Amino acid sequence: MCGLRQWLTSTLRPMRKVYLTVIGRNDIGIIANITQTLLAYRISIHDITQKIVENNFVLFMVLECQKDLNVANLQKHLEQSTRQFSLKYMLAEEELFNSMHRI
Amino acid sequence: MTFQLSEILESISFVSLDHFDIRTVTLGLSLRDCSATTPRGLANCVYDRIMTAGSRLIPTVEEISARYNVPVANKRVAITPVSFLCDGSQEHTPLLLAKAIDRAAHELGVDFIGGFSGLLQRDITRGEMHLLNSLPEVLSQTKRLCSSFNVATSREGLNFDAIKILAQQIHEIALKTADEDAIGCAKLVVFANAVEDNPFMAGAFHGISQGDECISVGISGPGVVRQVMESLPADLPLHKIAEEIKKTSFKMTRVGELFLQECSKAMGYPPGIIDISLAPTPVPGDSVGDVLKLIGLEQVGTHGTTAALALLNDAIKKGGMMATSHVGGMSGAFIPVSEDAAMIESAKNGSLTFDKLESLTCVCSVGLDMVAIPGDTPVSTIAGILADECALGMVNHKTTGVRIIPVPGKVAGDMAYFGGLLGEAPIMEVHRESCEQLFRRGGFIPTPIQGFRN
Repeated sequence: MCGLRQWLTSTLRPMRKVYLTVIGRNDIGIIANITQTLLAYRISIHDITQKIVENNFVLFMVLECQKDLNVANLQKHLEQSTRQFSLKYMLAEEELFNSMHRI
Repeated sequence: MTFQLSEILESISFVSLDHFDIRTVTLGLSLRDCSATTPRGLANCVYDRIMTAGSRLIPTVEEISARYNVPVANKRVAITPVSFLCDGSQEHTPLLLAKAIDRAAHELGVDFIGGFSGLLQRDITRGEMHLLNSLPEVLSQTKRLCSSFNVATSREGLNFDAIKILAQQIHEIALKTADEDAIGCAKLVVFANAVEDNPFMAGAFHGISQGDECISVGISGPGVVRQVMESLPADLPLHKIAEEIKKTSFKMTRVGELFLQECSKAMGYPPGIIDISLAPTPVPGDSVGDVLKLIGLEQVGTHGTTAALALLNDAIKKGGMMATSHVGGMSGAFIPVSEDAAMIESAKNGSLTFDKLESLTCVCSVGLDMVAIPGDTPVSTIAGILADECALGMVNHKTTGVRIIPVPGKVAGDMAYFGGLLGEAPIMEVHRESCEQLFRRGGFIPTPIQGFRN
C-alpha cells in the first residue's frame, strides 16, 4: 500500500520534460554514470537515443522531472559524476524547443 | 521523441557554437510616483523605488536562463526620464539623483541603468538645463548610469540649440574621462525620434506613457545568422537569402518571446516589448559586418554595403514580426563600430569611412554608434555630426541616434580602447572644413513637411 501511495503521489505531482544532450569522446561507462545520477534525482527517462559518430559519443535523452527540479544543479552533478570523461552537457526545458520549432 | 534530433541540435548549436544569447532583460520602471520636498529626499525616494522594484530581477533572470540553457548577457533597468524629476529642482539635484541611481544599480547588480534623459525636441525647461549642465560631472563620476536626449522628431522638428549644448557637453565629458579614452561619451546618446520602449543601452528609458513597471527583452545573434549564411550556396539570389534570414530571425525571436513571458510571469510585471536586433559583440564570429561580407562584400563600407544592410535589416524585422506580438524598441541590425570585429577591421583599413557609415545609418536600426573621432574635433563639427544624423531621422520618420566619442590626444588611425562589450575603435577621420557659422546661428529646424500627415 505504501509503495502504491508513493507511486500515486509521484505520478500526480506536476511534471515537466527536460531535454538532455551529451556530446564528447566515447568511453566505457558514460551512460552508467549518467543514469546513476538520474536515479539519485528520481528522474524518469522518457526517451533515449545514443550514437557513436567517428568515436564521438552523442546522447539525447528526454527526462521527465518534477516541476521544482533545479536544472542548473542537475547539470552540475552530471558534470561532477562524469568528470573522468571529456563531455559537454546541455540541459534545457522542452518549452525552448517548442518555441523555436513549432507554431 | 517529440522533436527531431536535427531540431534539437540546431537549438543547441545556436547557443553553444554561434553565440546566441538574450542580450538583455530590461526592467522598465516608472519614477513618476517619486516626490519629496528636498533634493536629498528625492534621491532617497528614487533609490528606494529602484531597490524595491528591482530586487528580484537578477535571481529571476538567472534561474530562467539556467532552465533553458540560454545565456542572458545583460540585466538592466530603464527609468522614467530623470528630467521630469528635475523640473522645479535645484542646480545640484541631478548629480544627487545620478549618484543615488548609480548606487542602486550597483547594489542590485545590474549592468546598466538608463534614463538620465530628457526630451528636448521642442524646447528646454530650467530643470532640463540643470540636467544638461550636470552631464560632465555625472558621466565621469558614475559607472552604470546611461544618458540619452531626444533632440528631434518628425512631428516637432529639430532643436539645434539643444544640439549645440550637447555637442559642448560631449566635448567636456571626453576631457573629464580622458584617461579612459573618453568612455563617459559611450554612455550618452543623442536621438531623433527616440522610442519609449528601447531596452538597449545607452539609449534606454521608460517612456512617460508606460505603466509602473514592465519587462522587456532584447535578443541578439549575428553569429547565428552568419552560420546560416555560411551554409548557403554562393550563387543563391538575394531574395532567397532574405528568406533564410527571416526563418532564423523567427526562431531567435521565439526564444525572446519565451523569456519575455517567463520573466514577466516570475516577476509579476506585465510584458513590455521584444527588441529584435542583431547586436554584435567584439567576440570573433559575433559580427554584423561578417554577415554583410557573406552576402557578397569584400569589405564592409565598399559599394553595395548599404543594399546588403537594407536586406539584412528588413529580413530580421520580418522574421521577428510573426514570432511575437510585442515587437518594439529599435529592432534591426546594429552597426556599432567599436563592438564589431569586421567593422573595426574595415574602419582600420580605410574601406569604411565616416561618410559611408552615415549613409548606412539610413537603413540600419539606429545610427552612428560608438564612433571614435579625433580629440581635437571642434565642438561645432560635433554639433554638425549630431544635426546631420538627426535630420536623417526627422525627415525619414526613422529613429536615429549618435554615440560619438572624441578621444582626447588621439588622431585618425590611432585606437581607442573601452573594454568589455564596448570593445575598441579606430579613430575615424572627420571633415576638417568648418561648419562654425551654422553652429553660431542656433535656433531650430522647423517641422518637416513629412511631419504633417493629418
